[in-house]
Amino acid sequence: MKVETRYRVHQHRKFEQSGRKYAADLESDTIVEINDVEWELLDQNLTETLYATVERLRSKFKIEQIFEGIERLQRLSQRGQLSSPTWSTYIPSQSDRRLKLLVPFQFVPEKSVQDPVTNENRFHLLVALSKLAELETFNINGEPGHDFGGFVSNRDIIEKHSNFWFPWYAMDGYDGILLLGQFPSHDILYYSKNLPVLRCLESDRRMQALILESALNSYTAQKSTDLILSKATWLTDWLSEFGVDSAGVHTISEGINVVEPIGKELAKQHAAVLTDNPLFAQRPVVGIISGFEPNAGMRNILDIATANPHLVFFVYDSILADAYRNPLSNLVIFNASDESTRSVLPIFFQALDVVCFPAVPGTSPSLVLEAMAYGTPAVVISKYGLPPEIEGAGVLVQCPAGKGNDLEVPMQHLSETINQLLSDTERCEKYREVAKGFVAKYTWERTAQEIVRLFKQGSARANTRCQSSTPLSLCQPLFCRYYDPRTGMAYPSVYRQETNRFERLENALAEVLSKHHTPAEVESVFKHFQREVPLAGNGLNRSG
Amino acid sequence: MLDFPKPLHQLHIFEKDGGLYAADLDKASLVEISAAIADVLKLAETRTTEEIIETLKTAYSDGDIEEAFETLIEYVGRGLLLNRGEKSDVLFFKKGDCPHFLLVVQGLAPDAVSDIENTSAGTHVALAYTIQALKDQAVLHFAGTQNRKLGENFYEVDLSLLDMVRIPEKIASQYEGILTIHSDRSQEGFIPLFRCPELPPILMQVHSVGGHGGTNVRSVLLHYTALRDYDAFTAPTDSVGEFYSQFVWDKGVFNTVANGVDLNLFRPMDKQQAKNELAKRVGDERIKTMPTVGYLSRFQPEKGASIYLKLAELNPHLLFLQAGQNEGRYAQRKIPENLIYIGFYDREKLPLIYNAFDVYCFPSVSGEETFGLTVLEAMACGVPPVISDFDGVPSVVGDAGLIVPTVPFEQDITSIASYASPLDFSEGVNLLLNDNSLRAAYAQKALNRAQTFTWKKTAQRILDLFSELNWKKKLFCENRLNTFFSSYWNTHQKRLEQKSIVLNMNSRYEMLVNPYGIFNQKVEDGLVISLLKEHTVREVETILSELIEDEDTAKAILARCYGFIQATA
Repeated sequence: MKVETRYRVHQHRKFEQSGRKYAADLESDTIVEINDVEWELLDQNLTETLYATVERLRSKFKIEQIFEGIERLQRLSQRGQLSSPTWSTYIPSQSDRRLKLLVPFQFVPEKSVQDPVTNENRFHLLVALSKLAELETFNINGEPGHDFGGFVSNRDIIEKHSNFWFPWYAMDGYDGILLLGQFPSHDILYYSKNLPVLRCLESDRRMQALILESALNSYTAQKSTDLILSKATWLTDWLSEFGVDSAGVHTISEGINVVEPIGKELAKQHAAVLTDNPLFAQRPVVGIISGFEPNAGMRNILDIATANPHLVFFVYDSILADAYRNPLSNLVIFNASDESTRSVLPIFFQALDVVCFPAVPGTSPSLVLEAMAYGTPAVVISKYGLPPEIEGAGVLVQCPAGKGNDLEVPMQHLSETINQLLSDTERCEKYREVAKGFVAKYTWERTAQEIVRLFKQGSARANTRCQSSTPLSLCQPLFCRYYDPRTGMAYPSVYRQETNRFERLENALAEVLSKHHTPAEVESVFKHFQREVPLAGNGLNRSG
Repeated sequence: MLDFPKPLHQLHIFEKDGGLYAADLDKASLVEISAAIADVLKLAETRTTEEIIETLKTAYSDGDIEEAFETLIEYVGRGLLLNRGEKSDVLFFKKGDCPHFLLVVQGLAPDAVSDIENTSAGTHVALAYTIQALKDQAVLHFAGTQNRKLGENFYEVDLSLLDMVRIPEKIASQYEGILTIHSDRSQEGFIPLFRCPELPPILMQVHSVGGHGGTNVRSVLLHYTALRDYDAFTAPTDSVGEFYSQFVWDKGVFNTVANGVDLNLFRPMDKQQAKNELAKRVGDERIKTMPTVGYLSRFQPEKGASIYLKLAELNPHLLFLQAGQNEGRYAQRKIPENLIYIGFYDREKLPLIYNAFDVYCFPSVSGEETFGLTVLEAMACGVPPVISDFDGVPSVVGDAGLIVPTVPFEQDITSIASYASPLDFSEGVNLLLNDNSLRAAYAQKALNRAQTFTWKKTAQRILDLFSELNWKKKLFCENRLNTFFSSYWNTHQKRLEQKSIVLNMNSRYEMLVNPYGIFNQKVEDGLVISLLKEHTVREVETILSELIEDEDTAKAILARCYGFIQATA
């Protein structure tokens, strides 16, 4: 999808004669007969947004008439009459007032699919964001509104007489769009072409396939004002394996939710009672915040637990907790599936001596940071290196590089690293101190502030941009077959009337696709047909 | 100097930002004018030139007045401000149910286009007869340089290609269709017309296929892709569509509209009487007594002149007559004594010429004989033809003549596209001339067949085609679908692949089908849907033929996507 082309209306004069309306274009020396809608459109010199135009005129004309008028003026523009497409794009200017953000979100269905931690985090994010910006969501045609406790207002949309879809209502009145939804409704593909759009990617394990699909779609559709928001650097690194350039992704850690600490010894005792497993109070406790693929995860967890009978393993895994019924004696698999289990999770976290986690998309970054915030050093299993989020508070177990979700865990190295760390009290203490600082470092306020900053930065970047990423085409191509009498055959080609020349078809194909599609989309098409993209500099322009 | 009074176009004169302008509503053009010109225009319809000058002298200098007239002459030369000819709204007020068609022919004056008597080129003759037949059922306007009546239901209108592109809606309100003839003189021809979706359906006559270094074929292929869904080609025989079907997918746009023959003019006469008359005109008694073979065309190699010469050499016992234009190309050759040039004749004399032939020989090898009008005319006169088996002529002759085997060239060489042996022609000619009853039988067959080709049928076929195309225009739907291309991870193949998505919201922000549906498609489908927003079906055909090896697959994709667009419009 491309940013909407803007038009400069030529110097003109409108007049009526013999019951008909005309516009005399003083720049192209042509006269165009116009109708009432087009008369009104020219009155505003096409400076309004599409939304404002339709809303202004719909009391006088049918929506179909309004669009027909707009489309006719665009067609005339292609013939050089009445207006010309401009090089710049329209982005509404921003003052210092509070931003108004649209958060279109199918809250109820998404809430039922995601786990409580994800839902809880989303709640905290919206609360924090509502202190810095006005948040609004849609309520279509009288559907029961969602109660957000007043920090996200409902905009009622009642459309009895038109067939507009959600994105129409995003066209005006907002400074940006925050997409939280993970369902593949392709919403980013529809939403306002003129506003910054930030799309949050979740780490919910049940939606990993959707996360990748969403990310790939979002990345391809991005304007320079848009960003994908990743919650962890390893998620960003994972996306880059699939061609998502890091320039289009911004990593913002979520805030973390910590309770008043009760001390490690007491926490271990509570953990022993809660799990009915006295080993929690007797041996070092190793936590694993698991985002492993379930079968591989089960193997890895059993391996590490079996190889270290002197340790107790507390595994947080929302899938294995339900599926695995006969754990080893030194292994507990836990899931915070409701308020009650969520409320005891901090006790388990405080009981940990070390927390391990694989740097994979399914691992919850907020739970990792939450566990560490109680003063727990980390062992990261990663193919990307030590994540900056935990620098100074953990060690790395480097995995071999590989594409996709596969993670080859060097189990012996992992086992050794955990045991070394547990026995190195000096290093552990250093890491603990850094980890305790996460409470102040990773807050919801900070996350919200960063999001608002990105919206403002996006708008500013758009306002200073003066040239679209793809030059406008002046000589419209005509795709045809070129007959060669020497061979008696006809070859696909392109004809330019203005220069009376035949050219290579691929050049013109890229050119015409670029009118309605981003450079990344054009690249996608050419990749599919295994052709080189002919236009120079046709990568997605991130410098904006 | 302009000769006033003259009728004006519909004008609106206004002042803006210190400038004075005249908006010419008939031509959709704007020109800047001086005050003096404005004053001339005020008086243009009611005063003479002298009266106007006298009036202006009270307010302007001689220099200003002269400059005003010079500028006006320039504008009038461009077809602006003043009517060239009659006042258009009086002449062309559309009334009644009689359909109106616009005739756009490049390189021909309107008088020439309808002058059957004095035209000789086959395509022009056919056009003239077609116009004559169409006028019985429709009103024709010839796009020219002035407004005048040319005949009953036939007018010239001051309308250029540029005008048509500027006022397409007005053209559509006036005319049910536009009839044109393809010409390869300018590569792009009528492309600007096809790029206006508002214009009424366009029927383009295509007449020749081969020769001219491929420029003709190239140009037709260009126009093929530019055709809108409600435009079409016509050709006098199926051979044109058959030829282009080797390059294009949609042969259906080539509609056969056979030429007719003027049966009032071309009919059998007493043969001996005709021979006697011709012998007297030419001054050669052999015409009366010897078996005669006829040739009526330009005497040049493309038209088989070399073959005809050799035919004459092979058959000294026959008399070979050559009528038509003789540009003297063979002037320095030794012409056989039994080959005589009998001259160039007006159309009204041609029946006499044909009737003086015992057999009509048509050895053209040019690749441009889409129909062979002279063959049909000879048949209408009861003269059996012997023709080369090439181009469209065999479909005209059918089994009413002898068809000589011909070697078609895979590629043209200059303007020659085939070769037929003079020996084969000789065999055919002698077969007919040596057997009177056989010749008589073919003559009767030829006559019967010729009588099925009428110009009335030609005109009716054109009207029927326009009717069909206008229905197609009514049914035409604009493509407002949006598509998106992206990659996805193929978990089975473990690699990134590409897909397209048909968005559930069109360009007017309307919801299409299921609001929560996901329409993942193959890239090919998304590409076709995206391209069909601003390009014709035939342009997309060209692109797919480049990108997809299997033609059947590509055709299926195009058909599917086109149907989807129609279904969701």
